[in-house]
Amino acid sequence: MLEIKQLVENRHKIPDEFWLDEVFWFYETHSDGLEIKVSCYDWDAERIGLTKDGNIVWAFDSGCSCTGEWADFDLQKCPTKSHKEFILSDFMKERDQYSEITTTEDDILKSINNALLLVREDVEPKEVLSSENAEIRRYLIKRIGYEKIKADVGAKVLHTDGTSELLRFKTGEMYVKVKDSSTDREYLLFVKGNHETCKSAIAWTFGLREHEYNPIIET
Amino acid sequence: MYRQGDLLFIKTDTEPSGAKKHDMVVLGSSITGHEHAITAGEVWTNQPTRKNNANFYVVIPSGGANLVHPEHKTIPLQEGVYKVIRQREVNGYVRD
Repeated sequence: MLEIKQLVENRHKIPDEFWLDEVFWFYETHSDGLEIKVSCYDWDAERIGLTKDGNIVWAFDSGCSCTGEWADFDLQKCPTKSHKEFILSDFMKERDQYSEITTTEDDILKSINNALLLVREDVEPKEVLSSENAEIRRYLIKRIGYEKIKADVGAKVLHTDGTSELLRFKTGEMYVKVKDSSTDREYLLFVKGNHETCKSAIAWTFGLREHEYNPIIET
Repeated sequence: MYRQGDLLFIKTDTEPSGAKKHDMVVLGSSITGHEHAITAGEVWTNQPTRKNNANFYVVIPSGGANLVHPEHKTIPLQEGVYKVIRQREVNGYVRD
């Protein structure tokens, strides 16, 4: 599987912040990997990761949410396969013995391609924006440069509010750039609707209307 | 209303729904290992789906509790029930 091989061979380029205990979890059920995290809500929640020594690992949640009993998200690592042996379809068959998995090979491939953005040196600004993972997007924006990306995609700034910016791209999509006051990390969030202010767009990200969003403390 | 990172806490008169968690972690990260957690009280949650904002509640006891996270400043929460909303993007994706 070429994509896995590329990821494995370039794993040394994956930034430190994306490793957890020597594993890079590039896929998780009910998310696109790197997003919805440590979930004990679904008994078939699983992850697929890459270790620092180049093996593919798999883990699933042993909790049982269906009975209302919550368990720790215990990682049960199954026998790993090196990238040379890793064949996705075989992996899927082996995994299916353990639980009723609903994800597809396409889901996993999509996550791998998303993860490859971290190790490629030729990432185009429009690819950054197409990443469905906000953390990868955040990292790439920092690497490539926010202003460069804006210029490249023809983003129009509709509103500025402190460190936030509301953008509309030539394609019509709307994003809001926010800065985390605690970590100084900047995120570009893809929002829906026709917003006129940063606050309106940020409120939308929490499922609220602009007048409903009034946090008294933000950290 | 308080925001810590990508979580918004809104005080509510609603009783928490779903099931009570066995720990006080509101939401954790499988990448960094960092967790939003409360120092006292209960965390309740429905089963979130990929497309929805997750339905969490925290129940803070009398005396209050702190909302803590390794990368964000601590927020003191007063007694009461808070609905927790996770920040989302189009298609329901969330950030870590």
